[in-house]
Amino acid sequence: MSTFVYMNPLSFLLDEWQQRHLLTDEQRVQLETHERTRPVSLYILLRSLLYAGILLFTSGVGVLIYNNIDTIGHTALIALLAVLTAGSFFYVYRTSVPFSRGLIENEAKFSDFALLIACTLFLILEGYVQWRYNVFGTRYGLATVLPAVLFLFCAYRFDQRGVLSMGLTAFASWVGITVAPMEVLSNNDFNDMRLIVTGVLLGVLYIGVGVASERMNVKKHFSFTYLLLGGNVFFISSLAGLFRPEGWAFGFALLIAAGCWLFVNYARRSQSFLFLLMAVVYGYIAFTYLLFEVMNEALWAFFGMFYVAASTGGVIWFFLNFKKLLKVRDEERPPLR
Amino acid sequence: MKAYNETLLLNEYAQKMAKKWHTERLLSAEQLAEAVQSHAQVPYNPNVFIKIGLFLFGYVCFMFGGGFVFMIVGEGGGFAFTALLYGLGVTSLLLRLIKQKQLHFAGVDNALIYGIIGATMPLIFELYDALKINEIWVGVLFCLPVLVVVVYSFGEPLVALGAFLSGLFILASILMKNPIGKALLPFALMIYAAVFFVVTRKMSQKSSTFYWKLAIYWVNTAALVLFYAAGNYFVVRELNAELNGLGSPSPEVAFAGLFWVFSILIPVLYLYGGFRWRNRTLLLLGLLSIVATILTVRYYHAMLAIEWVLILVGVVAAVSAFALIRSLKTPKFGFIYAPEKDNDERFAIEMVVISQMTQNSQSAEKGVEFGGGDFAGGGAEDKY
Repeated sequence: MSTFVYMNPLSFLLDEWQQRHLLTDEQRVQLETHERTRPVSLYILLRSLLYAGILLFTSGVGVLIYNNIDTIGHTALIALLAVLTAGSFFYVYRTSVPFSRGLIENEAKFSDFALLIACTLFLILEGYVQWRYNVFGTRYGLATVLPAVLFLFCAYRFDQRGVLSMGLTAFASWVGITVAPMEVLSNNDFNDMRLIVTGVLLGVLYIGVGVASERMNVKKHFSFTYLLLGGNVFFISSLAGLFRPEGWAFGFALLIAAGCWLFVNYARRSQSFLFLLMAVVYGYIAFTYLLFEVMNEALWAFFGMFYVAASTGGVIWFFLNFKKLLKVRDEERPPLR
Repeated sequence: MKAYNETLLLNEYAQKMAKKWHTERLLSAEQLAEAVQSHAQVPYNPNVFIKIGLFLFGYVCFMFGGGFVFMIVGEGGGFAFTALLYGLGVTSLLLRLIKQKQLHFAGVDNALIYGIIGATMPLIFELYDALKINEIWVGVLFCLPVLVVVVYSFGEPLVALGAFLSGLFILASILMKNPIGKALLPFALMIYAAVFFVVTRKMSQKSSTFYWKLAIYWVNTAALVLFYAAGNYFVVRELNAELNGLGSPSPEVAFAGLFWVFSILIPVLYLYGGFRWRNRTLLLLGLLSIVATILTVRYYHAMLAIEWVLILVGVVAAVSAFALIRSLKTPKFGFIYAPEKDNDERFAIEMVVISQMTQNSQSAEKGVEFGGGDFAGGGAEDKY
């Protein structure tokens, strides 16, 4: 046993396999050297470094321009932005591959990234032009729907998921809703019933498109983005509606129940368990709220503590056994195609 | 006593390696099948989102369960005593759960481990209060055995980090009691970090410490961060002013030159170590500490306007990343640039960031003055 102590887990494992005659002696040596010399991938590190570098550079240029705007002049700057935007779009177009309904593998490493930059530049350019020349006047609707349409088109044409989220966010702000996940709660005024209904409808629309794109096999891999953005705004708006005193609680409860059912099913089918988590968390909040509404106040002072402890215990049990309960196949996730 | 079944953890490792080698065509399908069969039992390892759910609900369950127990039992034998009893009860439940469900860091066990540690705290507070010594580090010292026992039996990384930081706090508090200790504080902390680094590195190369692999890795990384921070000129100078109540602007410190050397040399050392040992953590820490060093230099010697620093650093970072991405298409020096498997976490994070950025630039559009706006919203674009 004393040699055991000084060995690393790899040699320990290989030793064991060798003793069981699972490996030949040569193979053991081969595996050990292979593992010791396996090249380490710097994918995430280098990509992040590239992003950070570009971000720092553009920030620096931004500050430089901001400080010297009097000598440069707005018109020159707008022209420069326009050229950059057009250039990025041109690069994307040049390196693009033909449209396909599935996932596109583009050989050009930076094409994806260039499209993201192009779209961001477009947003900045549009904002700048509006601020300087007031091109859109007070037609804010037009100003917000324009990028939405452009981004959604680009997302489908060039198969870029990031630009899809940009398009969906822009479209949502056209109808007056913030869908950015960190701000759904803080940035939307959920005291307004009209906004709640808009949020629910927008959520239903996004979820519907997401499910449909999977069913009809059009950009199947986009459904994740649709469902995540749409689901969040749908559930939160519905919950806001449930908490309102208008007395439509029953309707909203039904909506939430339907949403949960759909999400659980989707999670089961696509093995995307983020949606299972969403369904359980939002469903739990809604159910608990309804229960406390219905129940006698004197009772829940005592019962409440017990209920939460027991029900969360139940949810834990569900999470630990959901594969059996939902009959999830225990296999690797199918490729997104 | 080890709370988790070590064999299961080894099996998990064995299966992972076998599958990897099979996809790399180093093992035949029969060999894979045989390996999987002989290491059949593995811990329950759910998807990360399920883990998050398990953690959240586990935490709420622990808190409300405790509330319920207090409501039933009352504070019969004193608050601390009841809390400790509850903690013990949950511990036995946790151990059974781990055994039955073959959990290993599945979220719910992590939540309960933190809860159990929390349940022992009231007793320690009472003990600390009763002794009437007004030294916080003594209180932390009382907590340390609990943390060490938990780290030993569970190998939980966050608790291990807590124990490491507690030790750091105790050491710093004792040294700050007299002026010589205060002067030697940075060196003592660097030695503390170095000792932990060397020990954890040695440990990580043995198979007997396999059970604590993750905890060792976390402490090892924390030790590296501390080693740089304790030697960094900015940290030393500002902390010195803060601890001695010297006010701002902070005065020059003794051995200033030495700390400048540390600030510049340690990042280089980390990058070299990362290169030699092909260690991504060291490479990342090296890059981050370079940024910290640049900020330190700029804080005391504003040689360049901020925008030029941004442009310069940005260009260097982007160009070197671009060049490396190009050249590492084929492996060099044991490194490669090869796409890693995409997963839901990355998609979700990416989507949140992009959606947030779009939202920000759009609200900037609606009449708010534009201009420096692109500078403010950008901070979080990293893809980690």
